[in-house]
Amino acid sequence: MSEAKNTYRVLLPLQVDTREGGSFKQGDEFETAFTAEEEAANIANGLLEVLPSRWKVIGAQRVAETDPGDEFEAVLTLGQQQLLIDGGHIERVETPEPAAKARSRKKKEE
Amino acid sequence: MAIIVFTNALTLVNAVDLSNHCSKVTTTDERAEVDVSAMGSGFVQVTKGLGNAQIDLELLQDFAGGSVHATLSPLISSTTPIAVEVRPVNAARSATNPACLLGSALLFSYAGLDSQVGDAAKITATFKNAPGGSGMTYPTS
Repeated sequence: MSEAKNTYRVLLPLQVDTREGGSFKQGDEFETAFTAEEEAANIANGLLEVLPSRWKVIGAQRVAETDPGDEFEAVLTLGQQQLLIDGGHIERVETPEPAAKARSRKKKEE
Repeated sequence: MAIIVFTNALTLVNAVDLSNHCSKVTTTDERAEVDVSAMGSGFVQVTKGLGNAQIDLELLQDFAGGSVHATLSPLISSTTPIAVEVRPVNAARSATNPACLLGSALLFSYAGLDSQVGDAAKITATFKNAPGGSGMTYPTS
């Protein structure tokens, strides 16, 4: 079962340090494990925005105007995600890392 | 504008479409009456106080995974606000098909079983405006 998580973009000219050890500045995008309350606070104060994620409808009911078995892209808060995941409605569609990034890493290794 | 017979309303709970299990929707958007009568008033003077926005749903219970119970039961113990929306017709929002939207709602009552022998197992759920919510809105797009 997939877990609730999100990718965020820093909106304010401030540095954001995550528990995992990353540091991010305005415009940077990152994934981290906030609690639902932390996420809500960071969005409410304008520090972060949630980026859309891709989801697959795995339950019997339509979700976000999407038929069972189909996929959709949406911004869901952690709390909303968890309720939908726990209810057996959706699962996260993991998107493969972009090829461009993989190439640039390879170059560095060379 | 045509009169409509309610046959195909849309019911969304936290983006989950429960329309095919929903048999009745009731939206409530009201304001408390506050008595501001004073000496010299010839009539009771009433002004508007706090609003109350709520959506009541009557649903055919279904315990299958990803259906009615699976959608509603986590919400009764949750304090995460969710959106609840109903539309007169199961089609896109428009001026003639406006949504009744509680953009930030909490589930306050979930009668998971409420039937007698021989009845269809219908249940009721009551959603009300969550803290910070802006009550009932009627978006057309």
